[in-house]
Parts: sequence; C-alpha cells; structure tokens
Amino acid sequence: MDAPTRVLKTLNHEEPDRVPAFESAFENNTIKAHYGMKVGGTTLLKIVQYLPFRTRIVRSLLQKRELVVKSYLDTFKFFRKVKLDIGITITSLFPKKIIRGGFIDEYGRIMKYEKYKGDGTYILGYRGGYFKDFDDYEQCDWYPLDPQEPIRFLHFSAGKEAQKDLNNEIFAIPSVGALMECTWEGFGLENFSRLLAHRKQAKKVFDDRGKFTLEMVKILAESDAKVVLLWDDYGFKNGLFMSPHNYKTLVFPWLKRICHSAHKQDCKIILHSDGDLLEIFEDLIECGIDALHPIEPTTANPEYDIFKLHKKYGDRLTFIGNISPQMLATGAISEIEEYAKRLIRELAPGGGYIFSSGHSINPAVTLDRWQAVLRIREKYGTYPINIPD
Amino acid sequence: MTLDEITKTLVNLEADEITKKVKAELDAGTDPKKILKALTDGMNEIGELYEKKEYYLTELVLAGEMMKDTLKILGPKLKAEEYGRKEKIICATVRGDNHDIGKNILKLMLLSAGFEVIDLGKDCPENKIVKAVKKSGAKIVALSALLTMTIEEIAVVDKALKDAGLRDQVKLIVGGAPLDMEVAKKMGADDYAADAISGVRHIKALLEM
Repeated sequence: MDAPTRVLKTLNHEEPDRVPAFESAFENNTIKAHYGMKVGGTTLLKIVQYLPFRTRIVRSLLQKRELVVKSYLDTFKFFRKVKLDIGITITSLFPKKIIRGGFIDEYGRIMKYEKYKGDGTYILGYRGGYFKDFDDYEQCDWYPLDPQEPIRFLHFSAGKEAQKDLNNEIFAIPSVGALMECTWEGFGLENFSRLLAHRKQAKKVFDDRGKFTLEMVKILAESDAKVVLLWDDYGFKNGLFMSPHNYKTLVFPWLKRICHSAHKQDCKIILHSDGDLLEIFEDLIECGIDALHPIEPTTANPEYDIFKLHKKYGDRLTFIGNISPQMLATGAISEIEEYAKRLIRELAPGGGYIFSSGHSINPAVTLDRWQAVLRIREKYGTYPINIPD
Repeated sequence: MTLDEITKTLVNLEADEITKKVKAELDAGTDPKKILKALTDGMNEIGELYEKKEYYLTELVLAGEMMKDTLKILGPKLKAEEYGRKEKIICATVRGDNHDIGKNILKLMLLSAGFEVIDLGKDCPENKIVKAVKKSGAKIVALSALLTMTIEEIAVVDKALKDAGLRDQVKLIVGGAPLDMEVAKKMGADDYAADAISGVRHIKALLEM
C-alpha cells in the first residue's frame, strides 16, 4: 500500500496495512546522520545574511524549482528511511525580510536559527513580533498576502513531484499558516494582547488571516490536494491563549468555512495545535477538522489525555500523537516501548490514528530512544492490531 | 472618581482609560501609594480571575501591560521605600534558550505584585546568575526553560550556586513547557510553577511572605 492510501484510509477511519507515522519537524542531526542524511546547517544563510539584496536572493532561491524539489526529495528520502509516511510542504510562512541570523516571515514573525551545542543541529525558533500595533500592521508594504503568489503553488507542486519520484512512499501534504498562531506571533504576545482590547482592529486582522487561509485551502483542494495541514497553536501548557469566546467569534467561523471548503473537494484538514485544548475540543470537531496533532502530553491538565479524548471523540476525529519529547530525550527505553505499544493498542484499531511524537523530534531525542519507537512501530503497527496487554 | 474605580478599570481591562484615570487621581492630590494599592488589588483580582478561567493569558498579559503603563506615571511619584517590597527576584531563561515569553509574563506579574525584578534576559549563562545573586542578595532565582534540550541547564545553575557557596541563601524556582515538579526537583530546583500567577504565589511562599 502506498503512503497516500495508508494515510487517507486512516483519516477515513478504515484500517490500512499499517499505522501511518508522521513528524511535524525533525530537527536532530544525530539521528539524521545515522540514517545517512547529509547534515550541514545554515551555511548559505550565514553568508546570505550579510549580502546586499539578501531578501531578493533568498526569495529567488526559494523559487528555483529544481532546488525546491531536491530539498523536499532529500527530506522525504530520510523520512522513508525512518518509516514516516507524511512529508510536509509549505505554501505560506515564507521569508519577507532577511535579518541577522534569520528572517521575518510574511506573517511578521521574527524567526532565528539557533545552534544546539550538543550535535550542532540548527533549530528555527520564534523570537518576537514585527508589528508594533494595528497601524503598523495596516501600513505593512507586503499586505494583503496574495494566495496566488507563484511561490506557494511551486512548493505544493514540488512536494507532489518529490512524492512521485519516491513512488508514493511518502505522502506530500501542503501546509498553511492559519489564524491564531501567525497573528499573535506577528505582533508578539504583549502587542497582540493590546490589539485584542480593540475589537474592531482585532477582527480586521483575524478576518485578513481567515480570508487568506480560506483562499489558500481552496486553491490547494481544487488542485487535488487530498489533505491540507493548518499550523495554528491555540493553546500552551496551561490552557488557551485567549478566551473560548474569542476563539468562537474570531477564529472558528473561519475554521468552519475552511473545513467546509476543503470537504467540498474531498480534501481533509489536519490541524496542528500545541497546548491544552480541552475547553474548545468539541468546538474544533464541530468546525469540521478531520485530524488533530499532536495532543501534547506535557500540558498541566491531566484531563488532556489522548486516551480519554479518544474514548470520547475517537469516532469523529483522527488523533495524531503523542509520545512525549521529554520521554524521548530522557525516558527509560522500557517506558517508551510500553507507551508506544499502548498508543497503537488503544488508538489504532479501526483506523483514525497516526503515530507521532507529542510535538516534534528535537535535538535532545536520542538515537536509541528513537529506534525503540521505530522497533515498536515495526513490530506491532501492522493491521490487524494485536498487542497483548 | 474613587480608588475603587481605578481597581475596576484595571480589572475590566479598559486599556485606553487606565493611565488617564491614574493621572486624574494624581492631579487630584491622591497619595500615589494609595493608587498603587488600588492597582495591586486589581492585579490580585485579575490573578484570581485567571485561575478561575474567567480570564485567559491574553487578558493577563494585557493587565500586566496596563500596570506597566501606570507604573511609568506612578513610579517617579513614589518614594523608593514605597515602590516595591524590596524583595529582589532574579529572572532569566537558561543558557541555550531564547524563548522568553514565559519569563516576561512572570516579570510583569512580579512587578505588578511589587517585587523588584532583576531581569538577566535570555540565554543566560550560570556565571551571570551567580554574579547577580552575589551583587543583589536576591533570595529567589526564577528560571525558564522551554526547550527539552535546555532543561539540564537548571542543574548547571544549581551546581554553580553550590560551588559559589550561595545555594543555601537562594531558592531556585523553575517553569517551562517540558518541566513538572518531578523534573524540576531532579534538576536541583527547589520549586516549580506551571504559570506566572502560580509562580508569584510560589515565590511568596518560598519567601514566607
């Protein structure tokens, strides 16, 4: 069975040949090198950041089709080696300004690379918001974002080409930045909190984001994308960033339209949102999302538990997650194996479950622990699921 | 206008009104200390509303921002002994960690609660923390670690404080996404707080206030 069929069957709550696997980010040079992937880092960025016309240079490189295809192909080949089924391509979040050590993306998020001293892995991390206030946002010279910008479709189609080159052993899924995460991060939490105090202004910003995301999803679905992933953290360790009322009035009307629009074209929506989402869990399902990733296991709420949630909502939602990255960094191998087995045993029968970590594979994850997960997936992840207690 | 109105304006998160009202109270000759007390009462109420899940993170941060705005006006009018409880808290994100949102929220809440905050910023090496403890005599070091791969830096700070002979004089409290009390204790911290509001409460408890 090829990866698209495996993933789509799972999202349709049918049993494929084996439980599919996914990682939203794999930032770990040690594991990559072990599987033969070339790890270098950000040499190009190091040079480019000092050049005149640096933004133009980077944007131009990001639109060189052969380079983009090669980049996805290299990543997908590594994913194939570690038995992952999904490769994410990006259709937004592109750099708009290159700055020292990183860039400002099209949502106004200041992103910088930092080097993990352990194995030299470079991690791209959020460093703050570019917009000071609503006026600053309104005056931004690259707004409104254009869903038709060629770079977006180029990355989508480059992913499809890489998928084809690998005989569908990896399913290339396009992703779009969505409403909440990109909005608050573009302003920074302090400025965003001030923006929310001015309802009309906040609504305008969310509506801009909503319109763009909806249009992007429409374009992708009409171009035969069978699944789209939305990046949109609604919560953090201790709960939601903003009140359920704000989500219900500013975000969910758009999310509902986005899901509806995708479904009309037989396209599924995976929502990636970190944090404890218990208070809005039913709302998310009502909006029509098909799958939720990563059901973070390290929130402060013991009720935000993938097993409890699956019992309640397993027939309406595909769950993607949730081995703790903390466990993958420092846990006992036996503990990891037992948890991985439990995930498969309790969540995978009948489909509707995609194996993943509870966030991403960061540089602290060790090779032996990653391999323990891989062993369990290979030994017990084949349908029909039969794992003794 | 009464001082209750100042409290109410803050609790109701009327961001555009708060500084006007504080200025009006000052112009009317009200004791700045009493205005500060009204604001602190408001922040305490906001903390309670946050814990009851009537307010969320953005409301908490907005309240902290409003408090910051008012302190810009109020600060110069207050005598040093009236402005803060003198207890100094050192805040930082650990070495290798550049994620300072949690640390900044804690700082806002500590300032609002009347503490003096020595903010050592992000990606802070242990020797800088040791130096700051020596210099300030702070009894609390509050560290934030968001990344799984940086939590061991807490143990590095713990050891550095021990090596400098300062560990008995200072309490180490930590917070951050990959942490819980068990991991915090394993790394040598005295306490763990899941969020900024409980962080302030725990810090008060550690200081036996």
